[in-house]
Amino acid sequence: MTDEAIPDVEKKYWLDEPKNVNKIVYTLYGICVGLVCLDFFYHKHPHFDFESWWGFFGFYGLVGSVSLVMVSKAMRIVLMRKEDYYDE
Amino acid sequence: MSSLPPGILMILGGLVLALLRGRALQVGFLLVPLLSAWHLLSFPEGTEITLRFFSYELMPGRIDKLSLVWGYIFHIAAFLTAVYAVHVKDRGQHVAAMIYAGSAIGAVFAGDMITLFVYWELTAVASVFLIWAKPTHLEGEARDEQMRRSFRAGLRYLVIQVGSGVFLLAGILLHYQKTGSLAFTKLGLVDLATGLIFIAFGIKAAFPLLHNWLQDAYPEATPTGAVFLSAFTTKMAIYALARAFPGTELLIYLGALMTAFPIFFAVIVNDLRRVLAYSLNNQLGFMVVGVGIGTEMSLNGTASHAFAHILYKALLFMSIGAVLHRTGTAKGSELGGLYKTMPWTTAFCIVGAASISAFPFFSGFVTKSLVMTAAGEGHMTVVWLVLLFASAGVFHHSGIKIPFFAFFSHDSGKRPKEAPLNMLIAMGVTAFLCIAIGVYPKPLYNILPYAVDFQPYTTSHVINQYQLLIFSALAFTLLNRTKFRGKKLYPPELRSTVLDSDWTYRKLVPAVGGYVARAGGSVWFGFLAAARRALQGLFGLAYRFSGPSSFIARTWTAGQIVFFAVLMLGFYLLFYFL
Repeated sequence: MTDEAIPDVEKKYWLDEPKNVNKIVYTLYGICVGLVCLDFFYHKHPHFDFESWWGFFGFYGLVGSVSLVMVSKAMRIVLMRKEDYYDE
Repeated sequence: MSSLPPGILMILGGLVLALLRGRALQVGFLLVPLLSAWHLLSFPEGTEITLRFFSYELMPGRIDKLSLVWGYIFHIAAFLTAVYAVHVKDRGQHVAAMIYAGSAIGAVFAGDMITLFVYWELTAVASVFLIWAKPTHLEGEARDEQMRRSFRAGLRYLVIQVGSGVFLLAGILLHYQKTGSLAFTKLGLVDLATGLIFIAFGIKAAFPLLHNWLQDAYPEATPTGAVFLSAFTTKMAIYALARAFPGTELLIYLGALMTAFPIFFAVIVNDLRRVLAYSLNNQLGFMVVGVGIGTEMSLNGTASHAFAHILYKALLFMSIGAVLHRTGTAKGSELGGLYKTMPWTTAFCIVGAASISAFPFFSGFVTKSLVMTAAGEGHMTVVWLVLLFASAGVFHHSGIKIPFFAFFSHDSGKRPKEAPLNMLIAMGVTAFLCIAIGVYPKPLYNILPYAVDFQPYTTSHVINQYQLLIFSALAFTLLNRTKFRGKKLYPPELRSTVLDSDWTYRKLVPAVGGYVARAGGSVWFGFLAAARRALQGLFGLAYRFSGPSSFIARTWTAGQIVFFAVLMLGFYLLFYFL
C-alpha cells in the first residue's frame, strides 16, 4: 500500500463536480428540515423548560456556531499577526 | 514483581530500549507497553504497595477503581502510539516516550504525594525530548528552522512544566507541616498548601490563562511525539484533580470557561495540530466540570470522558501527523484535497472527528453526556448552556474544520502517498475502539469508579444531539457558501500567528524586561558617572591641597617653620589659660 505509485493527477473524482457538492448540501438541508420535524413525534425528558421548545437544539446549534465563527473572525482584527511574528 | 508498582516496568523498559537497535528496538518498543499492561493486570483491585523511606511511609502503588481507569487507558494509548511510531528510526524518541508514559502511569497509581511529585516532574523532563527530537519528516533548511522553533518551544514548555512541580512541592511541604500527612487523597481547596497544589494541577490541566504551554509546544513536537504528548500529561492532571479536589465548586466555572474560550482560537488558528491542541483544551474543560460537580455520575463522566478522549484525540493527532509525515506541513492554508490519495487516513480522521463531536454511536457521545446530564440534574442552567455551546463549537472547529481543510476544501495539488502501514494499523485499531465504545459502552461503564445507572441512547437524547450537530454543520455550510462583498463569510485559513496568553511571556515580559533593563541601566550608569565625577572632584581637591605643587608641599624656610611653631604654642598657651 505504501509503495503504490502516485495516482494519476488527472483522474476526476466524484467530489470534483460542483454539481455533486450541491447534492450533498441539499441533502444536508433536507436532513435539517427532517430533524426539526421529528420534534413533533417524540416526548422530551428535559432538565430545563427551554429544552422542550420546538427545535431548540437545532436553533441553538445554528446560532451558537454562527456566533462562534463571527466572534472568532472579529478576534483576528486584534490578535492576528504575521506568521514569523515571534521569530523576529 | 508483585512489590513493583505499576509504571516502573515501562520506565525500566524504556531504559532497556536505549541499549537496543534495529529490529530488536522495534520489537522492544511494542513489547514494553504490553509487558507493563500484563504487570498491571496481575494486581487485584484494592492492592496497596507501601514503602518505608527513612521515617516516611510512602505508597508507590495504590490500585483502586479510580486509578485503574487511567491505568488501563494509558497502557492502551502507549501501545497504540508505539505501533504508530514504530517506523521512526530515532532511539532517543522511543526511550523518551516509554519513560514519559511510564511516569504518567506511575503518577496515577501514586498513593502519596512524594511519589506523585517525582513522577510529576519525570513526565516533564522525559516528554520534552519528544519536542526536541529531530524532525525527520523535514529536510534541509526547513528541518533546521523547525529544530530552532522546537528547541525554543521545548524550553518554554520545560520551564512551565517543571514550574508546576515546584508549586506542587511547595504545597506538599506546607501541607505536611500542617497535617503531618503525605497521603494523596481528597484534599479540598481549603488553605494555602492545597491552593498551591491546586495551581500545580491547574497548570498541567491547562486551566484558563495557565493553558498556553499546550498550544505552544504540542504543534512543535515530532508527528509521532505529538500523539504521545496528547495522551498523558493533561489527563494525569485531570486524574490528580479528580483524586484531590472532587466537588470543588470553583472547578465547575473554570471547566465551563475552558470548554468555551479555546474554541474561538481553534476557528482562526492555521496549524491544524494547534487547532487540535485548542480542542484538547476544550475537552479537558468537560472533565474539569465533572470533577467540580463531584457527584458519582459526574465523576464517572470525567473518568469515562478521559478514557474516550485519549483515544479520539490520539486518532486525530495520528491522522494529522500522517499528513505532516507525508507532506511536511500541517497548516490548513497549505493543505486540501488529500482525500484523493490518502483515503484511509481521511476516513480515520473522520471517525476521530465524529467521536470528539459526540455523534451518537461514537465514543464521545456516551461519555460526555454523563457530565452534561450531571450538570442538568444539578440545574446549573448557565453552565449547561455553555457546555452545549461548546459541544456545538467542538463539532464546528474540530469535527468539520480539521477533516475539511486537510482532506477536502480547495485542492492544494498535493498528492502524497497514503500513510505508512504501521500508522494505518494504529489508526484503524484506534478508530475501531472509538466506534466500539460508542456502540457498546457497557464494558467502559463497568470499569468506572461508581456504578452506572445511565442510558445514553434514548430517543430524545439521540435526536437532540443530531439536531445540535447537524445544524452546526448547516452553519458551516451557509457561512462557506454565503458571500459578502465578494468574500466568503467563513474566515479563510491564513498563514498567520494568533496571539494568546503566551504573548505575555514571549513578547510583553521581554519587552518590559528590556525596557526596565535599559531604563535601569541608564540610571545605574548615570549614577556611576556621577560617582566618578564626584570622586574625581574630591581627588582633584585633595591634589590641590596636598599634591606635589600644593601649598603644603612647598619648601619652607626655617624661619617660616619657627614662626608657625611659635604661633601654635601661642594658641596652646591661650587655650590652656582659658
